[in-house]
Amino acid sequence: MKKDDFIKSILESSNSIKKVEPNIALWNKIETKIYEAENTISNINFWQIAASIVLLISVNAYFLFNQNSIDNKNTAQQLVKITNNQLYSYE
Amino acid sequence: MNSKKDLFTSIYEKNKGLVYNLSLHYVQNIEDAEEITQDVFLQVYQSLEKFKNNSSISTWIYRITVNKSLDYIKKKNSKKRFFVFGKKSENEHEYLSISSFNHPGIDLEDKENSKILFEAINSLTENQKTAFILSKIEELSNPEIASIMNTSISSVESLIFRAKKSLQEKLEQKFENYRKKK
Repeated sequence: MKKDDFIKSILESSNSIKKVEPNIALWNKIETKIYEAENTISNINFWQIAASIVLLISVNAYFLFNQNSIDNKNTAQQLVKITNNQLYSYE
Repeated sequence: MNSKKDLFTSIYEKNKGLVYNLSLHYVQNIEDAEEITQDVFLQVYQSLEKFKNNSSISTWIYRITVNKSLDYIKKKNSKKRFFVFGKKSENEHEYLSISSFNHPGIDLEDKENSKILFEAINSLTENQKTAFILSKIEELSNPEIASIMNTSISSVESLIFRAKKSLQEKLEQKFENYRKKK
């Protein structure tokens, strides 16, 4: 066989490709996929919800601990003030 | 809700052949083409409200099918590379090995020639491959291909020209190998 004939026969084989119909069961598979997609939380949504919860807890924890340290600081300052404002000296 | 389902059912009935056959040309394998067809119609269903009538529905579906098919091949290639411990293949498009060739639209007597043709098509770049398949196998016009590929008609002409040239070279090589073996 000559080179040109070989190439021509290969390229022309694309003309003989017939159209085929997909399996009837494919429709059921697509319906199942649609149902699953509609009834499950997507990965992105899941991680968005998880990240929001972590952020909320972190912010709460920060303010809670911060409030405690402010309270402690204020108490200490008041104690100092009281010590400094002693009216009588016992020495 | 029901009207969306009815609309989707009619879109599926009209376009199932288009999607299935086009994905078959990309992957040449029944199981993979069915997988792609499912993904395409899932996306069609989910994006039905977003579809703007700037292009025809078949152009839109062609575009989704092309993208899904190319993504599917990329995913398969990367999985294949993972299983050989990250060793990169010589050819990015080599996933479709001859052993997985199972195109139901090809008669037995044309199978050998078609195998060689698709092996050569699989070695083309993504754009050349898409332009060649849409033009020579799907028999679409250049303006239609340009609309599907979101490019100009002259770019499509150039892609088809380069695809043909590349195929010619690949087939010449094949012929030389074939002759040496004999």
